[in-house]
Amino acid sequence: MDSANRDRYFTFFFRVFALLGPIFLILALFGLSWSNNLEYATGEDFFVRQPVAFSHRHHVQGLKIDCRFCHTQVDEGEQAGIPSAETCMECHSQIWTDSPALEKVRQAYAHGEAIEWKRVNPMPDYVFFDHRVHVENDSIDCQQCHGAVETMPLTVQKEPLTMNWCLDCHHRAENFVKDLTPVEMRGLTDCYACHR
Amino acid sequence: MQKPNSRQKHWHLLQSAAESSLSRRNFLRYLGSATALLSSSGCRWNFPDEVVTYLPEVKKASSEPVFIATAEPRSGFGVAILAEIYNQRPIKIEGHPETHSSRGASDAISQAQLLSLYHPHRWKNKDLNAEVLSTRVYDLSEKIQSRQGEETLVVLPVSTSSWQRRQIEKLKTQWPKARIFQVSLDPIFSYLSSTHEIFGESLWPVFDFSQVDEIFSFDADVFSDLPGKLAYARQFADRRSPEENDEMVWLYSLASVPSLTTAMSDHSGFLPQNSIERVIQTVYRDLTRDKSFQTSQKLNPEEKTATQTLKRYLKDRRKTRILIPGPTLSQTAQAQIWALNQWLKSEGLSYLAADELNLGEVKSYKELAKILFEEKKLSNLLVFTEDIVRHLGLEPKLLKRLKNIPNFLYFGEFQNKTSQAARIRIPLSHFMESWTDLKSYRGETLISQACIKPIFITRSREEWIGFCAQRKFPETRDFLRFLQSHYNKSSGEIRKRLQAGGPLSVLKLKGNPKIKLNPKFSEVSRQEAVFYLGIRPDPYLRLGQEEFNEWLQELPRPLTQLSWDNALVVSNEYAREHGFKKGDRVEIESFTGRKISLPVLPSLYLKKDLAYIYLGYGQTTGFWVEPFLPGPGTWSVPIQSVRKLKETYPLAVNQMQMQPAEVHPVIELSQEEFRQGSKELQRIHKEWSHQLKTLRDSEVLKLMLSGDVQWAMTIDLTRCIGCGACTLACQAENNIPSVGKRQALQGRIMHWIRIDHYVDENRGEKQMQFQPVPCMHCEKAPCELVCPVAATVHGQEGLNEMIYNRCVGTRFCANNCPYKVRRFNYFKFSKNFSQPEQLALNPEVTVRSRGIMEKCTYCVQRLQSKIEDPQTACQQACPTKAIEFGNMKKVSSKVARNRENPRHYPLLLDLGTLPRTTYLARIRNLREET
Repeated sequence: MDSANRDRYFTFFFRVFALLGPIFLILALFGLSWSNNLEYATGEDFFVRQPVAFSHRHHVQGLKIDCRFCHTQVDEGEQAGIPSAETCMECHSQIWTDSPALEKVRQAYAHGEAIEWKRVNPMPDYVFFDHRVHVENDSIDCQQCHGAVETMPLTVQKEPLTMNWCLDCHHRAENFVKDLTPVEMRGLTDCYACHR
Repeated sequence: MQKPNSRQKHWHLLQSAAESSLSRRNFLRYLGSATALLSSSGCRWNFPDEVVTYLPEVKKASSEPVFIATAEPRSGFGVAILAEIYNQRPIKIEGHPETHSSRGASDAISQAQLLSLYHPHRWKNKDLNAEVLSTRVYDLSEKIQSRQGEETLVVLPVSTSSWQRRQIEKLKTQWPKARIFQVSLDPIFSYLSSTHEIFGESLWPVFDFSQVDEIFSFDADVFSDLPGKLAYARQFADRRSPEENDEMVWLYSLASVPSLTTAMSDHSGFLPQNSIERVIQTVYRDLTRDKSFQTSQKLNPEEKTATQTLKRYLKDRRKTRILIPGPTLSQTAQAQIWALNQWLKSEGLSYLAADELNLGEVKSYKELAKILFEEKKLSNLLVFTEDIVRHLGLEPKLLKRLKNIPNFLYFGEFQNKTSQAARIRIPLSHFMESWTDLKSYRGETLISQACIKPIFITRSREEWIGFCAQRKFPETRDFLRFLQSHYNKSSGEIRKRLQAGGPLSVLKLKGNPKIKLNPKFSEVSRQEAVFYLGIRPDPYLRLGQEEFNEWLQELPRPLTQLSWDNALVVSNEYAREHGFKKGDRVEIESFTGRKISLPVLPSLYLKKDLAYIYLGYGQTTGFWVEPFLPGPGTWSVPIQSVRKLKETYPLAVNQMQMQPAEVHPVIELSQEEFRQGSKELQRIHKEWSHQLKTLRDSEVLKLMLSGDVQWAMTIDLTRCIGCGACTLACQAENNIPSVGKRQALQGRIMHWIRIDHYVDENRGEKQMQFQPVPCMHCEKAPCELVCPVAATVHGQEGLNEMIYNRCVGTRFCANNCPYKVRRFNYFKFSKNFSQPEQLALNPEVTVRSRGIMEKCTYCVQRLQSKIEDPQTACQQACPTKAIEFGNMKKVSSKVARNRENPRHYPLLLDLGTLPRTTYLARIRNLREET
């Protein structure tokens, strides 16, 4: 190959790369971002291994226990609150007293320790989510964000919990909130509403 | 043109704009998430973490803070505070609104107590160690008791606590022959002996500025040295505001060391301390015509003018005047001023009996030194908290004698020079972990209650004194029973005070005690010195009690803006004459032949033949000055010679001292100029309303600002005394890390609100001006335009929002900010929060990481909590209520009224940024004939 040919050869490949490279890159980015919204990435419908196999279906649908019986703080504070072993033992000191599934609960109660439940609906640290403002005046049902927990034998995350998903409601709250009149609607789409 | 539908039309416009920006956001989101995915190579992005469950004993993880009323000891007196408790740990300190000692405000030292509670360097006790220590103290106290306390010296800090007094009395009955000393180097206790000199009994003076018209300060710093400083600052500011008073209160000062008081005074003169004493003598002699006073001393020209001016000002006897002696002045000079106040029949001054405040037996460090070095036999030395080695300036030779004492016990919280010499070191509790009672500066009894269980298994000072006496720790219920019997209160009343705070009982103030002895006259010596060196406790570290506190170390000192060090502050003229630059080491020699080498810091706000340095350093940073002094409690040293050394020393000065040039950041007017109507303010007002009008005309912005809630802040420069409480309150509230001296030298201090200092010489006299500068939250913010990732945007309530998780750290915004209020996290400063210190973090505020820009958020976490009329942290802490914050759309709010005030002006108006934080011009009195 003489030098002129070689130059032509390189120029051709350079042009091909210059044209196709960015296209590939953009396609790759879109592909990756598409995959980021997959359930695999957001964590929807993935079971989290818990220390105790607790069934919401049995307790809520079967026994008709209200959410707030255990998650007492949901309308008082930022966290809904996970009940201590004491709350479990209120009933389980009477029934299923020697069930092996409840061994850890009994241990925790006896030693005054906390059961280390794994979080099912995670929020990043830079989001300041407040349960109280979302549920007060019965404006939003628990199920709207947590899915039909009462039908879950093992609890899973049912919504993507991405910022886009939050903004669906924050942009057009009238589509999601039952009664808007008592709700203070200021600054719902300000960044400071959640990040500060 | 009528626009009935313009609002609707623009809603659509805005909505479509929001939708179009959605696509841009989508793009950025895709880009961002793609990179995140690439780096995490397909992991689940949020790994399941653990959830906090309620612990059985807590029942609920409280997310609502609880407030506990307690009291903070300061130079032995109490300051009423509220501790904000979140999940059983204190996270913030506020002033108690219902007591005279704080009236809801607090100061920098109170705010920083949070850090000293959780400080990683505090002495810790393990379970076993605590038992070993108490066994050893048990054995020792048994041994001492068997000898009835012979050869024993107990050194205690001065405290107004009746509980401590009760324990001391118990100790005295058990160890009758022991010497029990309550000592303090704090100069304020010289008031007790100077009043004794003239009234025949030790009295504690209480000032009241709400009734006076003229305040004369003689080398006294009422705004940072005295325990009643919060109340004094508030009373002064209330009498100072030109709207609420027809005639503003006058403040004159004659000082040897510049302070916040000289900075706030209308006219201030600077003289060396002995000249001030001479002036006081002459004024006293001439005004009261005291025959016994004969002096042959001649006054030099400066003293003569000061004397004549003072005599002219004080000529007619008026009840509405008050003269305040500096606690560092000689006892004679102080006594003469008390006598002059009696002569004036001053209404602003009353007294409390020292014994009622439990201050009857305060001893001086001179007496302590005498015992320590002249007593032949001394085998037991028990020192509580007081750092005697530091205060006595003990050099190694003298220290050896102390080290030879066989039973040398030190009880304290932190390592210091005394603890290093001691044989046994015993950790003490912080005041927020222990129970006691304290008296405020005007005799209110405050209960200092525990807000948290002792973190490091420690005991309080009172408990240890009680243990030494009875070999049994007094318990909390003993204390509560003692309160009932001592103050004659029912348990219900005490419970009420524990819940609501406020004074349990109040001592009665005495109006005019009788003068029993005429003040003695003493010749004041005069020396031909190069300059007179004033020695003062540091305004923040005090006498070294707070030296471990990084927040206070880093807070720039008022008047010099120096942090992390003490330096020899000399005047600019003197430094220029001798070729001294900032940080040059010099060796100064006193007439007693002692030498010390110090770095020089030239200051604009100082007279030529004066210099000063702060005490309180030498253990962790700065220079230990005490060995240079001729004795403990010397507050002025004439300097024989100054020699420049070759070395230099880096000094972290936060702001160059400068004179305002064409731009006037601080607008200062005399009262007359203001009442007549200032042209400058009128021009500003016109321009400001024009800018606001153009803003209202631009439709998009109009829509943005149409909400009912629009936050704004005003800062009244007439009220601001430059104390630095706002800076530290902000630091405590917003999890701001301290950066250390090396980073401070690079100008990387992270404070969200800084206090700018200007020295104005336009009226012939140097006048200090303070200006707190937080984020301005501009309507047209220059920072928002340049952010490439829209990490700083405008909210609908007018806040300039800084979103940390979006910031990529280009620093364009900080570069474009004309007010320079944005702070960049160059390193992961939050790493500085070590293990127990993390408990002090506010859970409502993000802990920022490296590479993030941050700035004042108007305490958005407080705005979002559902409190009516939320306060920002700086506003709440401000002792003079200079900072006002609120909804400017609410007509009744203070901010809305302040924005209509004729004194109102924005900083850097010509840039047209339309800031939400605005200022009220500084108004002062001006006497033409001085």
